[in-house]
Amino acid sequence: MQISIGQALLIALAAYLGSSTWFLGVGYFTVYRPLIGGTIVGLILGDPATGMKLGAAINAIYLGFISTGGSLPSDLIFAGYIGTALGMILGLDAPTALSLVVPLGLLGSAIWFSRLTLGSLVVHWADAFARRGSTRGVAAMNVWPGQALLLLLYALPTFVIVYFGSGAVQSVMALVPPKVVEGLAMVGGMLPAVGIGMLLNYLGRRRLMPFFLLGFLMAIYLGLPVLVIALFGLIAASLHVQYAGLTSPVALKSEAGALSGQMPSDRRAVTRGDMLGSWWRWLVFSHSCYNYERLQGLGFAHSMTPIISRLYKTKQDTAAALQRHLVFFNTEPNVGAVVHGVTVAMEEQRACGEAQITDEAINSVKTGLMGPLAGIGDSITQGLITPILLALGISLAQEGNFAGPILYVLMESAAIIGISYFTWMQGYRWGKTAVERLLKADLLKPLMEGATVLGLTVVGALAATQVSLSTKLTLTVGPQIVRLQTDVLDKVLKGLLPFSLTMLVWWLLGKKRSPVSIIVVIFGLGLAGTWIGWLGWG
Amino acid sequence: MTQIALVRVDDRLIHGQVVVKWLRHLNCSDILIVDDALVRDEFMQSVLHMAAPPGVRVRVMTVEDAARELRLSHGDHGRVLVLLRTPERALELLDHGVPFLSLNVGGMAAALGTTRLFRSVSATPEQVAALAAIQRRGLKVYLQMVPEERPIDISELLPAAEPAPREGVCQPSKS
Repeated sequence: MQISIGQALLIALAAYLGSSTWFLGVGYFTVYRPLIGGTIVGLILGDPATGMKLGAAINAIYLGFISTGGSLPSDLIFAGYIGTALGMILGLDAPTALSLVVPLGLLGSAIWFSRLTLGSLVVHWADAFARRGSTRGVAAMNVWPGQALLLLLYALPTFVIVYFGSGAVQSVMALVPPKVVEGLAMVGGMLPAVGIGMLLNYLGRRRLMPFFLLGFLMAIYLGLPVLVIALFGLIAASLHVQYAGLTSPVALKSEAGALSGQMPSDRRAVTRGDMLGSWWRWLVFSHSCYNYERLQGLGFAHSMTPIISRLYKTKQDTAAALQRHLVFFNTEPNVGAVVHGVTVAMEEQRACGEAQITDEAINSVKTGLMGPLAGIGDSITQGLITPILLALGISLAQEGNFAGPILYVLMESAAIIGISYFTWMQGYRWGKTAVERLLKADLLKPLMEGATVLGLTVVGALAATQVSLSTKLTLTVGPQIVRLQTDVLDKVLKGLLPFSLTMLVWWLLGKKRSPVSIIVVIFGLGLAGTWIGWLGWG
Repeated sequence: MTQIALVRVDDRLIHGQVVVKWLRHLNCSDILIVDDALVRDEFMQSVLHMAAPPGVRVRVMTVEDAARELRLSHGDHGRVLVLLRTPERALELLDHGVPFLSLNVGGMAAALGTTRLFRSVSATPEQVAALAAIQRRGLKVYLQMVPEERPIDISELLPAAEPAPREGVCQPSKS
């Protein structure tokens, strides 16, 4: 396939949007993911179905992807957007393309580090605006330099690699012996085991692993569509939570009772419009100028600008408030939005003259709460909701169904925006007791346990369809030739090799082997195994 | 005997990197936060307890109590992850005879009067001195946010950090 300069530019622009995190406020959870990125690249190149399937296959490798506190294991823009584009231009099948994607992802993480380092310069410009009491200046610093940086760091290399790189990759591929190409395809089939293993390492408590096996068997032997398997998973989750005695309505009541009646003062200076404006700024621009020095600090200050403009009328007060919120801040942005609600409530009380609300008090609430909420927030959004919905979307996309990416975007966005809005407003309404209300309500633990059960079932099904590994070995028993794969292994348990590989990866991760070293081992095994003729589709 | 799985300096204490990455990596279900101010803050203590994942025990102790706990043997306890807000606490733990051989530096936020050492790790001159002192006592002091990252030995960063910090200093205080 030939790519026109216009298509390459569009892909570069899409890669920028994907990396920007601001898109619709849920960019990091939607367009950043290869499932969506691949579909978009497919649309641009005129073959959305192929792009979607390739993106889905790539995303399976990164199913266990969790980025916390400015650390990033691999870059999904390089893997998803560039990977899909190169794969489609060169006409590679999914497994071969996957073996190309992993190095791209690692290359991309270097870009991420440059982004966070360069972003540290911008916060100092924001500091200067804050000293002058300019809310507009602080907002502009959060929004614009970051975009220029992303265009430079993501769109530019994407354009160059996609437009000029495909020829180079093609001529390299032409030199590679066919045996090695075959081996790379084998490696590509094995790689999703890394993504699934990483997710298991996080989700898979041993006692819950039967649900993983359940999903695997339902997919292999019953061949059920993934949505049906997900419904079975939901039934299993609900039964498990009920019979494991995780719900205790009595405790729920008494704790809710103990916490009520602590509403903070009802003096309200902040309007509903201010609240929505502030929340929206956070939802969209929290990571707009993410940087090593203060992480989300500038995003926090930007989100507070409507509140600060409402509450403080003099230059000095405005400057002091902006500077107060330009300090280091980092949390999971959606569950952690409760911190913002609490902060708005405290700023309001402070502006209304309540003496006990000092700068120190506001700061200590922010710094105290951001950590614990990041811990629980990452477990919920990045650790449960995203991989479960992705596993669903990937499986649907693999069946050639456009509901895969569409349903994923709709459900994920609803969940993320809903959580963010709810926690923000709770924080404002209840002050810091909101945190106890959110965490204590005995709903959270059973919900998380149930979600884990559902997740393991769906991921089990995904393992059955995504991981592939097969042997070509034959045994000669007397006059008969016995094929190890079809005559022996498939008769014991279909999918035994992919299942064992996934378990092996999980076990290695448990033994503290790094994902990169496991990927290296898989490349070695796949290439060597195919070369000597042990692995292959017989 | 209570076994120390990791001693980590992280001013956000229990957060994403700790919950999602380190606890799994260390296979550890016991967190001990050593912080005199937190011992007096009941609200934050209850938040920390609730924020921990199911099955993980969180305790908050003063330096003295923590040192006693970590020195004494307890048959029933497994490995413990010790979290500190600042490296000075680690020095105090050593002074109280707590045996540990390495110190993980995870996150120390940039603030007024800090110098950036590396990525999201910044330190005041006092904290730099404490890190150097810990290293002089023969401990391995290393920066590592999450397990999958390569650890960086503090000696690669300290000499360069003192005379001329790179960009990223709020208020340079090179006293």
